[in-house]
Amino acid sequence: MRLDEIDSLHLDIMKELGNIGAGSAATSLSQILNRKVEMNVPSAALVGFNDLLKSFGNEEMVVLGIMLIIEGDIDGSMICILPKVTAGVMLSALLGKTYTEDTVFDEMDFSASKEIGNIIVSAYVNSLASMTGFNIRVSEPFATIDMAASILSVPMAVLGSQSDKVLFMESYITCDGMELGGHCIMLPTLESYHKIMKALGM
Amino acid sequence: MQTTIRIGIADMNYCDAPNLITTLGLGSCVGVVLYDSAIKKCGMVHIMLPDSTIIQNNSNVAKFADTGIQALYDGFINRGASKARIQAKIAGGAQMFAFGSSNSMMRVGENNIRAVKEKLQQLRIPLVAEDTGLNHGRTIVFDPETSLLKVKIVGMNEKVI
Repeated sequence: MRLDEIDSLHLDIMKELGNIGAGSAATSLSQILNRKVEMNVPSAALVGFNDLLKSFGNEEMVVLGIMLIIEGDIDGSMICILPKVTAGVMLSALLGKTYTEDTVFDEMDFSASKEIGNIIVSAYVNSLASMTGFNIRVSEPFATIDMAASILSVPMAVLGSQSDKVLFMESYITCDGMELGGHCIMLPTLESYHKIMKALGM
Repeated sequence: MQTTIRIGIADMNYCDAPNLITTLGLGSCVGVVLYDSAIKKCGMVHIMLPDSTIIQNNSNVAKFADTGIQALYDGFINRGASKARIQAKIAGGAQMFAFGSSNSMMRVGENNIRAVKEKLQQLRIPLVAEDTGLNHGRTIVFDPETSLLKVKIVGMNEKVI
């Protein structure tokens, strides 16, 4: 099987896996931020590189990107993208500061951002690990602020060696009912994807 | 009327004056421009990975430095460019995240730059200017009329190389 041959049933399974992870991530985030956070995965899709970029609306949009590398029985990466403006909504809940479009992120802001990324990704990975019995390790989080396309080029380059498409699991994040316009994307390698399906009896 | 031709990631195209050609948000990828200033024509490829030969699924030639630059060069000659006059400008190849040295992902940008330079050298194309490496993204716009490459970076002044 090639990545291009993933059918809609498989995508539905990935979407459900994503929703379970997202639910768990939202619970953890709600606790640490003391706000009502909701996350859901409306779809899992197989998309080309340029379609993935287009789904973010504007390739040059300035965003906060938090990336973690996943290793162990499965590998790949997970990346959370938040428009800079709405990243401030979460960070202000954590640090009690006010953020505007022009705020220059300092070390503390990046550190808090990484923590948020860590919480989200750990929740996803833990739920995936408990459903599959896999041993999965997560790297320390890496964070930067730059154009959406520049940030996404990093995980895409890694997957680009296997396919012209990526398995794109998008999750929407709301905080106190406010849509943050953020996305968390899970990008397993092709081999990992096979292993997940096999572990689930597919 | 002037139009701007936009190319995506792992994509290539050509452009003649007075039009412009651009690619948005280069991260670890490298944007390569080949131009012939005498006829005011150019081509651009947005490469993602250094080497097609170590990869099984390499059907998209524009994705790799070796095959992408070769295809851009061959097509440019077909469009009337002179081998003796073709020159190059490149930008990109950043390390967007501060990955530890043990991780292979860390070197994608660096490897892309190296592979691009090797391929240009092999084709005997002079590299006239570059804005590469570091840790930030770049949007580039090339004007075949002036042979100038505009580089836009978040939070910095625009550069022209």
